[in-house]
Amino acid sequence: MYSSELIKGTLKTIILKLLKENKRMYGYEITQKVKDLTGNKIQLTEGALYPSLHALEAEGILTTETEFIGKRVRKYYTLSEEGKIRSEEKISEFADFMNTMKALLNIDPKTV
Amino acid sequence: MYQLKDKHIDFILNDISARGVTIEDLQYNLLDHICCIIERNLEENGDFENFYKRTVQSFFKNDLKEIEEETISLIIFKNYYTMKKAMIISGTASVGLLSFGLFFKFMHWPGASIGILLGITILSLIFLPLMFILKIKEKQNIKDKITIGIGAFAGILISMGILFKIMHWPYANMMMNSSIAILMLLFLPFYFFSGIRNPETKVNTIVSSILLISATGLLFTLMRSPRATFLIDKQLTETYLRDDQLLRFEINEVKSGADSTNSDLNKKGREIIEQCDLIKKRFIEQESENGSSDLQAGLQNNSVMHEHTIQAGFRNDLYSALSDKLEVMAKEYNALAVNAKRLPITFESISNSKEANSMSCFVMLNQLTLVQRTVLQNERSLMACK
Repeated sequence: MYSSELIKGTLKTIILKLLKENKRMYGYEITQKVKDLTGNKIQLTEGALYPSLHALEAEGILTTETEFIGKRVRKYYTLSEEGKIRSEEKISEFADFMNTMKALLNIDPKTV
Repeated sequence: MYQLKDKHIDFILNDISARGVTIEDLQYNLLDHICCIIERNLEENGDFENFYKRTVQSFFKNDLKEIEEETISLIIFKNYYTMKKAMIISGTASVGLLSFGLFFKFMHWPGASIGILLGITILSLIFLPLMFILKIKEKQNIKDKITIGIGAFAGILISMGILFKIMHWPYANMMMNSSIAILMLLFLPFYFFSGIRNPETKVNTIVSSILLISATGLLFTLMRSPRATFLIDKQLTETYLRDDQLLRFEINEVKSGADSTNSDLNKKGREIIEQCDLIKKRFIEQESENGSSDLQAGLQNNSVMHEHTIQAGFRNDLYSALSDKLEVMAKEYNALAVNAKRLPITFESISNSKEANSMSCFVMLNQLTLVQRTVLQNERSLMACK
């Protein structure tokens, strides 16, 4: 498990990337997917995930659809047109950031 | 896999809401999330309540409400950039409009007042409130928040006060005076004593406080003292009064000397003199401090009329009606006067003319006196012809 500060800074990028590849996801699904993809190394907390999802929705980056599952409602998140652009930007920004950090912290890729 | 029933769903939803999550969307998201976890991880004959409790407790540090608070703060943070942009745009717009308005004003071009009005309105109702909200978000300390709140309130009050002043709307002076009082007696102490304790902000605080006090001082330097205002008002009131007394004397003289000059022109003239007297009386009653039309008695008690534009004091429909009537009478009189080769009367109608809105009340009174004098002059010259 990584520190929550590290995850906080990358959470939006993770959400956008997942939605870009899976088109339509709901909250629980996102947490499970991240868990699977990272071999349990990253576990998104509900307390971090939902505020971010709501904020991204308010920004117009995500659009939502609701579906009734019996008595309860499930909210599916999809990237909006703007979200698709932002997703690209976020990922390339993060890639750039990683390179910078590598140089800054003098990390040799082979030893990692 | 545990089978959730409707009663479970209701139970969870009620619990989420009882724990202080009020945003409906968030409630449903959490409900679905919890349901998914229970369905996948609880055995078919497991203990629902116990498992639910443990699950929901893993969502937070202190209580579930944190998630809602975080959501709200993130949504507001998103607006942060929009607000910042809006603040800069509104600030630039208000400064631009104000500068153009002032330039137009000095050039006496049309459109000046719209520019000034919009500029100050945007400044005080959009820019300053936005600045206040954004600044408050940046500060953690409750004392800083209070200081910013007081400062912003005083700033809004000052600019609105100036706007009210130039638009001749009521309560302008009250707004400006109270805003300066708030600034000096509340904001400054708060700001000064909270800033001076911190070594980092000490010098800045002292410099800013000096700037604030000197700016207020300069503002007061430009202002006329109440005593000086009173003396000017007193001089103007006395001058008007002497002029009016002279007019009474002339009216009496003409009346006593009038023998056979009962022409239409003179009849109309007498009516006009009376109408002017009526307007003056009502006007003085409204403008004088004690509400009496007896200026002589008022002067002895240091009660004078104030020199300001009549738009502020002369809004009453009654006076507009009186003035309208005078205008009609003047037209009839002038038609006769031109025929008789006498002087026509002219005056700015209070109800119609834009010029009248920027007319000082003393100028207005003197105008009416001039109308009366013209009528008297015509009557005297008619008498002389006889």
